[in-house]
Amino acid sequence: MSRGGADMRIVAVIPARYKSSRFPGKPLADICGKPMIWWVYNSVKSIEVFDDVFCAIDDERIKQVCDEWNMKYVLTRNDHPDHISRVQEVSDSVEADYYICINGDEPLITKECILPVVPSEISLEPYFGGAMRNLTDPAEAIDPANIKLVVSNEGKCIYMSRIPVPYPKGTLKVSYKKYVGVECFNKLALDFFVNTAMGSVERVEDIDHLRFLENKIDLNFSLVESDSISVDTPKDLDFVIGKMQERLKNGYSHPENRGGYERKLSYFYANVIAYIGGEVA
Amino acid sequence: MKIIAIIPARYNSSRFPGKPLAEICGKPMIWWVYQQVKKVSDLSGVYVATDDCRIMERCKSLGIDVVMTSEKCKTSTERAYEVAKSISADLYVVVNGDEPLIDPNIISQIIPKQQLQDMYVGNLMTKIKSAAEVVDFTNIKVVVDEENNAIFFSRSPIPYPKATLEYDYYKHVGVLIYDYKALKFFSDTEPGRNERIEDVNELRFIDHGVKIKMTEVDAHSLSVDTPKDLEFVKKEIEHINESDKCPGLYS
Repeated sequence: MSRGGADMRIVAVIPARYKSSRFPGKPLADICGKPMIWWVYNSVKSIEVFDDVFCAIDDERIKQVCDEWNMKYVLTRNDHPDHISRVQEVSDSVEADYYICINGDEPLITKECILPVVPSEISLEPYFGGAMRNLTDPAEAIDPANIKLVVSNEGKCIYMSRIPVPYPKGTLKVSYKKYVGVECFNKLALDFFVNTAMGSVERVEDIDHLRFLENKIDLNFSLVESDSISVDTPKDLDFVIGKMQERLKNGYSHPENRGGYERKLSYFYANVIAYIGGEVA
Repeated sequence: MKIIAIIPARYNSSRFPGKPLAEICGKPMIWWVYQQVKKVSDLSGVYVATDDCRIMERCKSLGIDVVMTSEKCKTSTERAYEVAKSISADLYVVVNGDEPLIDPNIISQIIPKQQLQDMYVGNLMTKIKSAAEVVDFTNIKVVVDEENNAIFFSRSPIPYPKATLEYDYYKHVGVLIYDYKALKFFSDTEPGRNERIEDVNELRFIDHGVKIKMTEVDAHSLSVDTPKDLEFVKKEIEHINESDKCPGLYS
C-alpha cells in the first residue's frame, strides 16, 4: 500500500496557540534546550510524505521563535473557537489535497503515529482520518480528558465519548480505544466544519469531531502504537522532559538525521499495527 | 399500508422461566400485553410469536392469534422475521411481551407518517427521569443526530456532559418497527463487534451503517424481568382497574 501518492500534495499543519488556559505559552516551553514546538516540527519535517510543513500560530512571540529556529508558519486569527477552524484558515492560503494536523503539544509524537492517517488516494467527498491507540490503564479509561472511540468492524468510528464506551456487558474482551491528536482533512471537510453549526451532541460532549458524525460524514481511524501524551500542564511537561532525556540517552537519533532504513522499518511497523483488527472481530 | 404487530414470547427467560404465562389478576401476562396492542388503530393483525406449546395452548384458549416459531431464534427480531416470512405486511411492529402496562398510544407513535426508505427500522425512546435510571446498565441509552436517527446505543451513560449539564438523557423503549427487508437483514447478518460487547441487538444495524429512526414518547411502562417486578405490575393493574371502576375486567 502506498500512502500519499506522488501526484498528491500533502501538507502538515501544526496548530500552536499561545494562550492555553491551563498553561500559557505552552508551545514555547523548554524541552532539553529546545522549544516544545520545535520537537514537533522537526519530527514532522523528517517524514518524506509531506510536501510542506507549517506551524499555524496566533501570536507574535511564537512567530519570533519560528523565525529564530527556522520553522515555516502561517499567522492565523487569534479568535478561532477550535483547532480545526485554525487549520481551515491555513487551507485558504496553502493549497493541498490533504492537510495532516498534528497537535503542537505532543512533542513525543513519532512518524509511526502520523503515517497511517495519510490516505492513498484523493477523495471527492469531505474526508476525515484520525489515529487511535489502545487504552490499557483503567484510570486512563475513566478520565474524561481521554476521548474513547467506538469503531465498527470496518474501522469506521461510530461514536466518540468522554465516558467509557462501549459498555462491556456481553464480553470483557474489549480493548478501549483512545483518540490520538493526529488528523487528516481535505479542504471539503475543513470547509464543511466551519460552515456547519455545532451539533447538539457535540455541544454536550465538547468533542469537535462529533460535528462530522452528527452530519453523516465518516470518521476513518487507524490504530497506532504510541506513548505520546499531550502536554496540558507543567506536570505533563516534566513527564515529557524525562521521556525525551531517556530517548536521547538511548541513542534516539535526531529527527533531522534519521536514516532511510529506520524510516522504512517504522513505516512498515505502523502499517502492521494499523491492520491488526479488533479483538472482537 | 398493511401493518401488523408481533409480540415475541419465549418460554425460557433466564431470570424468570415461563414469564409470559405469569398470572396477573387471573390472566397470563401475555394476554395483558395483547389487549394493549389490540387497542392500537391502523393494525391489520396482532400475533404472539412463541417457541413453546404451553404458551401456544394458553393463547388459543384465550382467543389470541398465535404463531409457532423455532426454538433456535436467538433474538426477538429473528422470531419476528420468522412470522414475517409467512405473513406479508408492509411494516411489522414488534412489542416486547414483558410490558403488560404498555400504553397503546405510545405504540401507535412508532408508525411512520410519510413514505419511507427501503430497509426501514424505527424505535421509541423516552426521557430518563432519575439519576439511578441513567446509571443502571439495564437501561440502554441512545444518542441521536439532528434528524433523530440513532448514532449509538450504550449501557454507559452517553453522551458525557463535559460542556454542559443542560441535557436530557434518553433510553431505548422495547417497541420497534421494521420492514421485511430490515428483518431479513438482521437475521442474515452476524452480530457486529459492538453488539457483542454491549449486548444490544439494535447495534447490529448501527454496526453496519443502517439507520434507526428514533421517535420520542413519554413512556412509563415497566418491563417484568423478575418476580418482584411482577408484584409491582399486579398492584398497578389492580389500582388501574379499581379507579376505572370495572372490576369485572380481570375476574
